[in-house]
Amino acid sequence: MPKCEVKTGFFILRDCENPTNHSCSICNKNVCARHMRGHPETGAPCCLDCVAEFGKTAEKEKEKEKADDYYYGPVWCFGYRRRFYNDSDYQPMYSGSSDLSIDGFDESDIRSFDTADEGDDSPAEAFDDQSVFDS
Amino acid sequence: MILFDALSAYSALNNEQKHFVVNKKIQLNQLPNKTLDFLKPITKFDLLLNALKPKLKVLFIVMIVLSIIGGFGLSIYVDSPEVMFGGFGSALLFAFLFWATFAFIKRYDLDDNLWHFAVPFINILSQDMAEDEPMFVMGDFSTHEAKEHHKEEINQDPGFMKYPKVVYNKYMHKWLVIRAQLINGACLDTQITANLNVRKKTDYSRSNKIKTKYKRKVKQIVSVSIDFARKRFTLTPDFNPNNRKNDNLKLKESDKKQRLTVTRAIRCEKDNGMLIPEASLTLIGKLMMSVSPARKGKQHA
Repeated sequence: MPKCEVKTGFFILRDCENPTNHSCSICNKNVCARHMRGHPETGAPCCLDCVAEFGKTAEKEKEKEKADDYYYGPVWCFGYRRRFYNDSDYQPMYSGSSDLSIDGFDESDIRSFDTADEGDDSPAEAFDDQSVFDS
Repeated sequence: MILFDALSAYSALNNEQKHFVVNKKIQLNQLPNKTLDFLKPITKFDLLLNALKPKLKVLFIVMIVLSIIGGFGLSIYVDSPEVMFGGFGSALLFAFLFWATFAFIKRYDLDDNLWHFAVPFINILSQDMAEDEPMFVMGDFSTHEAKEHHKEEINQDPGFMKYPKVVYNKYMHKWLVIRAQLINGACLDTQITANLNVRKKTDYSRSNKIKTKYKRKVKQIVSVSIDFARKRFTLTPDFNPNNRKNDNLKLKESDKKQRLTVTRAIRCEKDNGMLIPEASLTLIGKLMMSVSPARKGKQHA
Protein backbone atom coordinates (compact mmCIF):
# COMPACT_ATOMS: atom_id res chain seq x y z
CA MET A 1 0.00 0.00 0.00
CA PRO A 2 1.40 3.46 -0.85
CA LYS A 3 2.41 5.76 2.02
CA CYS A 4 1.29 9.30 2.76
CA GLU A 5 3.76 11.73 1.17
CA VAL A 6 2.87 14.77 3.26
CA LYS A 7 5.70 16.28 5.29
CA THR A 8 4.75 16.91 8.90
CA GLY A 9 6.43 19.18 11.43
CA PHE A 10 7.37 22.83 11.45
CA PHE A 11 10.99 23.25 12.56
CA ILE A 12 11.71 19.55 12.10
CA LEU A 13 10.27 18.09 8.91
CA ARG A 14 9.57 14.39 8.67
CA ASP A 15 7.62 11.94 6.54
CA CYS A 16 4.09 11.00 7.60
CA GLU A 17 4.23 7.50 6.05
CA ASN A 18 0.70 6.46 7.08
CA PRO A 19 -0.62 3.89 4.61
CA THR A 20 -3.22 5.30 2.22
CA ASN A 21 -5.14 4.64 -0.99
CA HIS A 22 -6.05 8.26 -1.66
CA SER A 23 -4.29 10.99 -3.55
CA CYS A 24 -4.56 14.78 -3.68
CA SER A 25 -6.73 16.00 -6.58
CA ILE A 26 -4.34 18.93 -7.20
CA CYS A 27 -0.75 17.71 -6.66
CA ASN A 28 -1.42 13.93 -6.96
CA LYS A 29 0.58 13.18 -3.80
CA ASN A 30 -0.55 10.16 -1.78
CA VAL A 31 -2.42 11.52 1.24
CA CYS A 32 -3.68 9.79 4.38
CA ALA A 33 -7.00 10.67 6.03
CA ARG A 34 -5.22 12.72 8.69
CA HIS A 35 -3.69 15.06 6.14
CA MET A 36 -6.59 15.24 3.73
CA ARG A 37 -9.24 17.96 3.56
CA GLY A 38 -11.94 18.91 1.10
CA HIS A 39 -11.08 21.73 -1.29
CA PRO A 40 -12.77 24.93 0.02
CA GLU A 41 -14.49 25.55 -3.34
CA THR A 42 -14.90 22.23 -5.11
CA GLY A 43 -14.89 19.85 -2.15
CA ALA A 44 -12.46 17.56 -3.96
CA PRO A 45 -9.98 15.69 -1.70
CA CYS A 46 -6.78 17.71 -1.26
CA CYS A 47 -3.64 17.54 0.85
CA LEU A 48 -3.18 20.16 3.57
CA ASP A 49 -0.45 21.91 1.56
CA CYS A 50 -2.81 22.50 -1.38
CA VAL A 51 -5.70 23.65 0.83
CA ALA A 52 -3.35 26.06 2.61
CA GLU A 53 -2.03 27.31 -0.74
CA PHE A 54 -5.58 28.07 -1.87
CA GLY A 55 -6.29 30.30 1.13
CA LYS A 56 -3.07 32.27 1.22
CA THR A 57 -4.18 35.47 -0.52
CA ALA A 58 -4.21 38.49 1.77
CA GLU A 59 -7.96 39.11 1.58
CA LYS A 60 -8.76 35.52 2.38
CA GLU A 61 -6.28 35.53 5.26
CA LYS A 62 -7.84 38.63 6.78
CA GLU A 63 -11.31 37.20 6.38
CA LYS A 64 -10.34 33.94 8.03
CA GLU A 65 -8.49 35.63 10.89
CA LYS A 66 -11.85 36.84 12.16
CA ALA A 67 -13.05 33.27 12.56
CA ASP A 68 -12.64 32.00 16.10
CA ASP A 69 -11.05 28.69 15.07
CA TYR A 70 -8.61 30.17 12.53
CA TYR A 71 -5.42 29.43 14.48
CA TYR A 72 -6.49 26.01 15.72
CA GLY A 73 -6.38 23.85 12.64
CA PRO A 74 -3.51 22.19 10.79
CA VAL A 75 -4.43 24.07 7.59
CA TRP A 76 -3.22 27.33 9.10
CA CYS A 77 0.00 25.64 10.28
CA PHE A 78 0.75 24.25 6.81
CA GLY A 79 0.16 27.61 5.13
CA TYR A 80 2.13 29.48 7.74
CA ARG A 81 5.02 26.98 7.52
CA ARG A 82 5.60 27.68 3.83
CA ARG A 83 5.42 31.44 4.44
CA PHE A 84 7.81 31.21 7.37
CA TYR A 85 10.40 29.29 5.32
CA ASN A 86 10.16 31.87 2.54
CA ASP A 87 10.25 34.98 4.74
CA SER A 88 12.90 33.91 7.24
CA ASP A 89 16.34 32.36 6.78
CA TYR A 90 15.23 29.22 8.47
CA GLN A 91 16.15 25.89 6.90
CA PRO A 92 14.19 23.07 8.53
CA MET A 93 15.87 19.88 9.69
CA TYR A 94 14.65 16.87 7.75
CA SER A 95 14.91 13.34 9.10
CA GLY A 96 12.99 11.47 6.39
CA SER A 97 14.09 9.74 3.24
CA SER A 98 11.64 10.72 0.50
CA ASP A 99 12.10 13.00 -2.48
CA LEU A 100 11.61 16.58 -1.32
CA SER A 101 11.45 18.10 -4.78
CA ILE A 102 7.73 17.24 -5.09
CA ASP A 103 7.14 19.55 -2.12
CA GLY A 104 8.98 22.36 -3.84
CA PHE A 105 12.12 22.09 -1.68
CA ASP A 106 15.60 21.96 -3.08
CA GLU A 107 18.83 20.92 -1.40
CA SER A 108 19.58 24.39 -0.09
CA ASP A 109 16.17 24.76 1.59
CA ILE A 110 16.62 21.99 4.13
CA ARG A 111 19.19 20.38 6.38
CA SER A 112 18.77 16.64 6.08
CA PHE A 113 20.21 14.01 8.38
CA ASP A 114 19.93 10.37 9.26
CA THR A 115 18.13 9.41 12.46
CA ALA A 116 19.47 5.85 12.67
CA ASP A 117 20.50 4.65 16.15
CA GLU A 118 19.18 7.75 17.83
CA GLY A 119 16.88 5.63 19.97
CA ASP A 120 19.75 4.92 22.36
CA ASP A 121 20.27 8.57 23.19
CA SER A 122 18.46 10.24 26.01
CA PRO A 123 17.03 13.67 25.29
CA ALA A 124 18.40 16.77 26.92
CA GLU A 125 17.33 17.00 30.54
CA ALA A 126 16.11 20.53 30.55
CA PHE A 127 14.78 23.10 32.94
CA ASP A 128 16.21 21.57 36.08
CA ASP A 129 17.77 24.77 37.33
CA GLN A 130 15.04 27.35 37.11
CA SER A 131 11.53 27.86 38.34
CA VAL A 132 8.54 28.87 36.27
CA PHE A 133 7.67 31.62 38.63
CA ASP A 134 11.08 33.24 39.01
CA SER A 135 9.95 36.54 37.61
CA MET B 1 -27.27 39.90 18.59
CA ILE B 2 -23.66 39.71 19.67
CA LEU B 3 -24.39 40.25 23.38
CA PHE B 4 -26.66 37.20 23.46
CA ASP B 5 -24.15 35.20 21.40
CA ALA B 6 -21.46 36.15 23.95
CA LEU B 7 -23.71 35.16 26.86
CA SER B 8 -24.52 31.86 25.18
CA ALA B 9 -20.81 31.23 24.43
CA TYR B 10 -20.05 31.91 28.10
CA SER B 11 -22.76 29.57 29.33
CA ALA B 12 -21.36 26.84 27.04
CA LEU B 13 -18.03 26.93 28.94
CA ASN B 14 -17.38 24.31 31.60
CA ASN B 15 -16.51 25.27 35.18
CA GLU B 16 -12.77 25.05 34.61
CA GLN B 17 -12.99 27.30 31.55
CA LYS B 18 -15.22 29.80 33.37
CA HIS B 19 -12.73 29.88 36.21
CA PHE B 20 -9.95 30.69 33.74
CA VAL B 21 -12.01 33.46 32.11
CA VAL B 22 -12.53 35.16 35.48
CA ASN B 23 -9.15 34.35 37.00
CA LYS B 24 -7.25 34.78 33.68
CA LYS B 25 -4.53 32.39 34.82
CA ILE B 26 -3.80 28.95 33.54
CA GLN B 27 -1.27 26.25 34.31
CA LEU B 28 -1.51 23.05 32.31
CA ASN B 29 0.82 20.15 31.67
CA GLN B 30 -0.98 18.01 29.14
CA LEU B 31 -1.10 17.10 25.46
CA PRO B 32 -1.12 20.29 23.35
CA ASN B 33 -4.29 19.16 21.54
CA LYS B 34 -6.07 18.99 24.88
CA THR B 35 -4.86 22.50 25.72
CA LEU B 36 -6.11 23.78 22.35
CA ASP B 37 -9.47 22.05 22.90
CA PHE B 38 -9.65 23.74 26.29
CA LEU B 39 -8.90 27.19 24.83
CA LYS B 40 -11.06 26.97 21.70
CA PRO B 41 -14.47 27.86 23.23
CA ILE B 42 -12.77 30.53 25.36
CA THR B 43 -11.34 32.14 22.23
CA LYS B 44 -14.81 32.11 20.64
CA PHE B 45 -16.22 33.90 23.69
CA ASP B 46 -13.37 36.42 23.82
CA LEU B 47 -13.69 37.30 20.12
CA LEU B 48 -17.42 37.91 20.62
CA LEU B 49 -16.60 40.30 23.48
CA ASN B 50 -14.09 42.06 21.22
CA ALA B 51 -16.75 42.45 18.51
CA LEU B 52 -19.21 43.75 21.09
CA LYS B 53 -16.97 46.55 22.42
CA PRO B 54 -17.05 48.98 19.44
CA LYS B 55 -20.77 48.40 18.82
CA LEU B 56 -21.53 49.08 22.45
CA LYS B 57 -19.56 52.32 22.36
CA VAL B 58 -21.53 53.58 19.34
CA LEU B 59 -24.82 52.52 20.93
CA PHE B 60 -23.84 54.24 24.17
CA ILE B 61 -23.21 57.55 22.37
CA VAL B 62 -26.49 57.24 20.43
CA MET B 63 -28.41 56.55 23.66
CA ILE B 64 -26.88 59.60 25.38
CA VAL B 65 -27.86 61.85 22.46
CA LEU B 66 -31.38 60.37 22.38
CA SER B 67 -31.74 60.79 26.16
CA ILE B 68 -30.77 64.47 25.95
CA ILE B 69 -33.19 65.12 23.07
CA GLY B 70 -35.92 63.04 24.72
CA GLY B 71 -35.50 64.77 28.09
CA PHE B 72 -35.61 68.16 26.42
CA GLY B 73 -38.77 67.19 24.49
CA LEU B 74 -40.46 65.79 27.58
CA SER B 75 -39.77 68.91 29.63
CA ILE B 76 -41.33 71.11 26.93
CA TYR B 77 -44.32 69.15 25.65
CA VAL B 78 -45.38 66.89 28.52
CA ASP B 79 -47.10 68.06 31.68
CA SER B 80 -48.02 64.64 33.05
CA PRO B 81 -45.67 63.60 35.91
CA GLU B 82 -46.30 59.88 35.14
CA VAL B 83 -44.90 60.28 31.63
CA MET B 84 -41.97 62.33 32.95
CA PHE B 85 -41.14 59.66 35.56
CA GLY B 86 -41.59 56.93 32.92
CA GLY B 87 -39.14 58.72 30.61
CA PHE B 88 -36.51 59.19 33.30
CA GLY B 89 -37.07 55.65 34.55
CA SER B 90 -36.43 54.25 31.07
CA ALA B 91 -33.26 56.34 30.76
CA LEU B 92 -32.06 55.04 34.13
CA LEU B 93 -32.84 51.46 33.11
CA PHE B 94 -30.83 51.83 29.89
CA ALA B 95 -27.96 53.40 31.83
CA PHE B 96 -27.97 50.44 34.23
CA LEU B 97 -28.00 47.94 31.34
CA PHE B 98 -25.01 49.66 29.73
CA TRP B 99 -23.14 49.75 33.01
CA ALA B 100 -23.83 46.04 33.56
CA THR B 101 -22.66 45.18 30.04
CA PHE B 102 -19.45 47.21 30.39
CA ALA B 103 -18.78 45.61 33.78
CA PHE B 104 -19.37 42.16 32.21
CA ILE B 105 -16.90 42.88 29.42
CA LYS B 106 -14.28 44.29 31.78
CA ARG B 107 -14.50 41.31 34.09
CA TYR B 108 -14.42 38.60 31.45
CA ASP B 109 -12.28 40.12 28.70
CA LEU B 110 -8.96 38.33 28.20
CA ASP B 111 -5.75 39.70 26.76
CA ASP B 112 -5.85 39.37 22.96
CA ASN B 113 -2.42 37.74 23.01
CA LEU B 114 -4.26 34.56 24.02
CA TRP B 115 -5.84 34.00 20.60
CA HIS B 116 -3.39 36.07 18.59
CA PHE B 117 -0.15 34.67 19.99
CA ALA B 118 -0.47 31.81 22.49
CA VAL B 119 -2.91 29.63 20.53
CA PRO B 120 -1.05 29.71 17.18
CA PHE B 121 2.27 29.27 19.01
CA ILE B 122 1.03 26.16 20.86
CA ASN B 123 -0.42 24.81 17.61
CA ILE B 124 2.88 25.23 15.76
CA LEU B 125 5.02 23.75 18.54
CA SER B 126 2.69 20.75 18.73
CA GLN B 127 3.63 19.95 15.11
CA ASP B 128 7.17 19.15 16.30
CA MET B 129 6.23 17.08 19.33
CA ALA B 130 5.61 13.37 19.73
CA GLU B 131 1.90 12.55 19.90
CA ASP B 132 2.07 11.43 23.54
CA GLU B 133 4.35 14.25 24.73
CA PRO B 134 2.81 16.79 27.15
CA MET B 135 3.41 20.53 26.89
CA PHE B 136 3.72 22.77 29.93
CA VAL B 137 1.79 26.02 29.56
CA MET B 138 1.64 28.74 32.20
CA GLY B 139 -0.35 31.76 31.08
CA ASP B 140 -1.55 34.92 32.77
CA PHE B 141 -3.87 36.84 30.47
CA SER B 142 -4.84 39.57 32.90
CA THR B 143 -4.17 43.20 32.06
CA HIS B 144 -0.55 44.34 32.32
CA GLU B 145 -1.72 47.14 34.63
CA ALA B 146 -3.02 44.82 37.33
CA LYS B 147 -1.79 45.68 40.85
CA GLU B 148 0.10 42.39 41.19
CA HIS B 149 2.36 43.33 38.25
CA HIS B 150 3.19 46.81 39.58
CA LYS B 151 6.91 47.20 40.26
CA GLU B 152 7.75 50.84 40.77
CA GLU B 153 6.27 54.32 41.00
CA ILE B 154 8.35 57.44 40.42
CA ASN B 155 6.62 60.66 41.40
CA GLN B 156 8.05 63.96 40.17
CA ASP B 157 6.00 66.57 41.99
CA PRO B 158 7.48 70.12 42.06
CA GLY B 159 5.10 71.13 44.87
CA PHE B 160 1.62 72.45 45.64
CA MET B 161 0.03 74.11 42.57
CA LYS B 162 3.28 73.76 40.64
CA TYR B 163 3.39 72.02 37.28
CA PRO B 164 4.19 69.79 35.45
CA LYS B 165 3.54 66.91 37.82
CA VAL B 166 4.71 63.61 36.36
CA VAL B 167 4.10 60.13 37.72
CA TYR B 168 5.77 57.10 36.15
CA ASN B 169 4.39 53.63 36.90
CA LYS B 170 6.31 50.55 35.85
CA TYR B 171 4.77 47.12 35.48
CA MET B 172 6.43 43.78 34.80
CA HIS B 173 4.13 40.97 33.76
CA LYS B 174 5.37 37.49 32.86
CA TRP B 175 2.36 36.29 30.95
CA LEU B 176 3.46 33.17 29.11
CA VAL B 177 5.78 30.25 29.81
CA ILE B 178 5.79 27.27 27.48
CA ARG B 179 8.01 24.24 27.90
CA ALA B 180 8.10 21.26 25.61
CA GLN B 181 10.30 18.45 24.47
CA LEU B 182 10.56 18.40 20.70
CA ILE B 183 10.58 15.27 18.59
CA ASN B 184 14.34 15.51 18.01
CA GLY B 185 14.99 15.42 21.77
CA ALA B 186 15.67 19.15 22.19
CA CYS B 187 13.92 20.79 25.15
CA LEU B 188 12.38 24.18 24.50
CA ASP B 189 11.56 26.87 27.06
CA THR B 190 9.85 30.10 25.98
CA GLN B 191 9.09 32.94 28.36
CA ILE B 192 7.42 36.23 27.54
CA THR B 193 7.35 39.21 29.86
CA ALA B 194 5.62 42.52 29.20
CA ASN B 195 7.32 45.65 30.50
CA LEU B 196 4.78 48.46 30.64
CA ASN B 197 5.60 52.09 31.43
CA VAL B 198 2.73 54.46 32.06
CA ARG B 199 3.44 58.18 32.26
CA LYS B 200 0.82 60.45 33.79
CA LYS B 201 1.60 64.10 33.17
CA THR B 202 -0.46 66.96 34.60
CA ASP B 203 0.34 70.39 33.20
CA TYR B 204 -1.13 73.60 31.82
CA SER B 205 -2.49 73.24 28.30
CA ARG B 206 -2.22 75.92 25.59
CA SER B 207 -5.56 77.33 26.70
CA ASN B 208 -4.13 77.64 30.23
CA LYS B 209 -6.29 74.86 31.65
CA ILE B 210 -4.85 72.10 33.82
CA LYS B 211 -4.95 68.82 31.90
CA THR B 212 -3.74 65.29 32.53
CA LYS B 213 -2.30 63.13 29.76
CA TYR B 214 -1.41 59.46 29.82
CA LYS B 215 1.21 57.75 27.70
CA ARG B 216 1.69 53.98 27.67
CA LYS B 217 4.67 52.12 26.25
CA VAL B 218 4.79 48.33 26.09
CA LYS B 219 7.89 46.31 25.47
CA GLN B 220 7.58 42.55 25.18
CA ILE B 221 10.68 40.61 26.25
CA VAL B 222 10.71 37.29 24.41
CA SER B 223 13.22 34.75 25.69
CA VAL B 224 13.76 31.32 24.15
CA SER B 225 16.07 28.61 25.49
CA ILE B 226 16.70 25.26 23.92
CA ASP B 227 18.64 22.45 25.55
CA PHE B 228 20.40 20.26 23.03
CA ALA B 229 21.89 16.93 24.16
CA ARG B 230 25.57 16.73 23.19
CA LYS B 231 25.12 13.19 21.88
CA ARG B 232 22.58 14.40 19.37
CA PHE B 233 23.65 17.90 18.38
CA THR B 234 26.80 19.90 17.77
CA LEU B 235 27.13 23.62 17.31
CA THR B 236 27.51 24.65 13.68
CA PRO B 237 31.07 25.67 12.69
CA ASP B 238 30.02 29.28 12.05
CA PHE B 239 28.31 29.60 15.45
CA ASN B 240 29.67 32.60 17.26
CA PRO B 241 27.74 34.05 20.20
CA ASN B 242 29.91 37.18 20.10
CA ASN B 243 28.71 38.05 16.62
CA ARG B 244 26.61 41.21 16.74
CA LYS B 245 24.03 39.61 14.52
CA ASN B 246 23.40 37.04 17.24
CA ASP B 247 21.60 39.51 19.46
CA ASN B 248 21.74 38.35 23.06
CA LEU B 249 22.60 34.80 22.08
CA LYS B 250 24.04 32.93 25.05
CA LEU B 251 25.60 29.52 25.33
CA LYS B 252 25.75 27.52 28.54
CA GLU B 253 27.47 24.16 28.42
CA SER B 254 27.62 21.12 30.64
CA ASP B 255 28.90 17.59 30.12
CA LYS B 256 25.63 16.29 28.72
CA LYS B 257 23.94 19.26 27.14
CA GLN B 258 24.36 22.70 25.69
CA ARG B 259 21.76 25.37 26.36
CA LEU B 260 21.31 28.14 23.83
CA THR B 261 19.31 31.17 24.88
CA VAL B 262 18.25 34.15 22.85
CA THR B 263 16.33 37.17 24.13
CA ARG B 264 14.74 39.96 22.17
CA ALA B 265 12.87 43.06 23.30
CA ILE B 266 10.02 44.01 21.00
CA ARG B 267 8.56 47.48 21.29
CA CYS B 268 4.87 47.21 20.46
CA GLU B 269 3.35 49.82 18.18
CA LYS B 270 -0.03 49.62 19.84
CA ASP B 271 -0.32 50.15 23.57
CA ASN B 272 -2.19 46.85 24.00
CA GLY B 273 1.15 45.05 23.50
CA MET B 274 -0.14 42.59 20.93
CA LEU B 275 2.47 40.13 19.65
CA ILE B 276 2.59 38.01 16.54
CA PRO B 277 3.84 34.39 16.52
CA GLU B 278 6.88 35.33 14.40
CA ALA B 279 8.25 37.10 17.49
CA SER B 280 9.21 33.81 19.09
CA LEU B 281 9.30 31.52 16.06
CA THR B 282 12.16 33.44 14.44
CA LEU B 283 14.12 33.11 17.71
CA ILE B 284 13.51 29.36 17.85
CA GLY B 285 14.55 29.16 14.20
CA LYS B 286 17.73 31.04 15.04
CA LEU B 287 18.61 28.57 17.80
CA MET B 288 17.76 25.57 15.63
CA MET B 289 20.02 26.93 12.90
CA SER B 290 22.89 27.17 15.40
CA VAL B 291 23.13 23.40 15.74
CA SER B 292 23.35 20.44 13.45
CA PRO B 293 22.73 16.78 14.22
CA ALA B 294 25.81 15.10 15.64
CA ARG B 295 25.62 12.23 13.16
CA LYS B 296 25.41 13.78 9.77
CA GLY B 297 23.76 11.44 7.30
CA LYS B 298 22.87 11.39 3.68
CA GLN B 299 21.99 14.51 1.75
CA HIS B 300 19.01 14.50 -0.54
CA ALA B 301 19.24 15.74 -4.06
